[in-house]
Amino acid sequence: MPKVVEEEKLEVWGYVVITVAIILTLFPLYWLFTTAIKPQPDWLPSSPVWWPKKPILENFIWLFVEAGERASFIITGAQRFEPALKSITDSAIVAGLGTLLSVVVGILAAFGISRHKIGGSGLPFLFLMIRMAPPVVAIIPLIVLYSHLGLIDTYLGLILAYGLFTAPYSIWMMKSFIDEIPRELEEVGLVEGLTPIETHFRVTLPLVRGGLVATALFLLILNWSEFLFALVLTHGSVVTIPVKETTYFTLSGNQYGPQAALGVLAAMPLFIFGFIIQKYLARGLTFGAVKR
Amino acid sequence: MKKNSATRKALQFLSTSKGLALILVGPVLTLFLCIMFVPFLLEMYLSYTPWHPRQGDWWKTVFIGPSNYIDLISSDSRFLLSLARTLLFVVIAVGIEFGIGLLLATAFTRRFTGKRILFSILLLPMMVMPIIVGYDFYMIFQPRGPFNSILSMMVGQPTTIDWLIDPNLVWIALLMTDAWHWTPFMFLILLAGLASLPKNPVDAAKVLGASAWQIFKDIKLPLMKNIIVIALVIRAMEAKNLFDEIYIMTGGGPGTATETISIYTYIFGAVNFRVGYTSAAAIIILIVTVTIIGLAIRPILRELR
Repeated sequence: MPKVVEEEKLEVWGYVVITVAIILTLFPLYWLFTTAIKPQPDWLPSSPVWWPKKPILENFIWLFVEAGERASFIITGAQRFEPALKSITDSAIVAGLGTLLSVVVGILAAFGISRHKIGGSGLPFLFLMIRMAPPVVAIIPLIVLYSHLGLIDTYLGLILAYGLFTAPYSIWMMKSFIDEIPRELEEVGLVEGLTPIETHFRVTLPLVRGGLVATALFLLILNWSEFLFALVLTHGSVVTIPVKETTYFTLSGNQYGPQAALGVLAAMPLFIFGFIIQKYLARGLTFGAVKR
Repeated sequence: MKKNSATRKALQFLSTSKGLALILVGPVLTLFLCIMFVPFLLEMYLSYTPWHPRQGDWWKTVFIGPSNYIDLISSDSRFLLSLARTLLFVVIAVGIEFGIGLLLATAFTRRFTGKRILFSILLLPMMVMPIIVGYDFYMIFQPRGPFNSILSMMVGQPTTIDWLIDPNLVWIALLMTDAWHWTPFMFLILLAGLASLPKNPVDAAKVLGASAWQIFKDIKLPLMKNIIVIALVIRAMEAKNLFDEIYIMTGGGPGTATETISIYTYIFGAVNFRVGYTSAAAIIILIVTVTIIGLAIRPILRELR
């Protein structure tokens, strides 16, 4: 949390504002969580069920059980769906490797910009535009291109897209960390006979390890949550969690319970990552412009 | 021999600072060329054709000049409305989030117990994936859902408003959803801004007897101008892409009441596959966005350099 120097006591208005904000923040999370442990009759009853009479874990278990073995579970009408395990591994593969790609090209470019001042003002603008251009503008031709290259519905297709569209964040975040390490250290390395590229990776990089981890976790949050590209560029061979979530909406009734259960499972790692990198969140979200 | 010296020259260049920098930004530029720039050229080309995949290969399609653009601007009210709606949504949503975020951030500059944990809790919504946020609020805004239930307790009579079916009220639901999801962003950035203010001007004003409100309005806000602009611009840029929550909560409906540019482009391009026509729409959207960004992005670029 950013440290504020001036510390006057909080007045009544402040307590009211914070209390209301906390309640409003927690209620939707509470609702998601309780839905995940509700049996089917409680999903959409005539008046809301604030806490299930008989909390169940079936919604979670169901996500990992094959269709044929579900007869003994309370949830009915769910037999047609595949289990969600594949969506969890698919999301992990795509988000993980997409992040890796983004971090690798990001670090390289960040050194180029920070230490060699390449590109003047055009390159920074270009890298920001990658993020600021609406993704819908990119997807239409990407569908055409990907179908020529056979990249539709593949891990590689999504990984490349995720790698590029989060690269602006990794470039600017890494640059902001690298900028904080004095160049003189690299000059010492040069005197001791290292090549310029070696000074980057053997002198500076170890010093920004913490920033590197923060950047990777930040990108992981973005890639794990991405929906539009996954929706448009995959058709069933690769199924990420956000796309899987939409398949629980059906004509014969929405599968609220399992959907919420998968939602809770998917949110957990992000809560943890978010907490770990809390200190660097502002920096990440503003492309490094806000340093605290 | 000549070739050899050329190679040596190239190698020499690559070992200079500039050459090395080129190698360093090379990978990301390659990725950019393949995944964004080439597709963009393709999109430019297609926007001058009536291409639909059922017509066969796109390079065999006819060239129809700017007629897609003319149709979009002069007679496609569905497209123009989606643009206007998106713009209006961005202005209102970002405005609300800024207001609440600033209020909360100001409260957090004061001293109280449990600050650290409350701070962490307030940031939680940002970590939830948009699809799940949309689905959560879809449940909350059902006619017999918890929102109506709480509302009836507050007004003292039963309410069964169908928030997601009414073409006007649905916007209230979407704004509340977006505000829940992204007010934490404003709160976080503005708190960072408040925390980075120099102490001297504030102390001086206090000595001179300025009230807390005067200090806030005349000293803190002007000092925070840069960070405020950055927060507004970045939030607006993300808000204009709004897609996931609408896809889940309304699908662009009722009718076309919640069709934003993202939903419009998705429906026409990726569902109906009117690729040529949608490409033109996408180019127009890009031009509009780039124009706005070009004007607003300066403060961010200044901070980055």
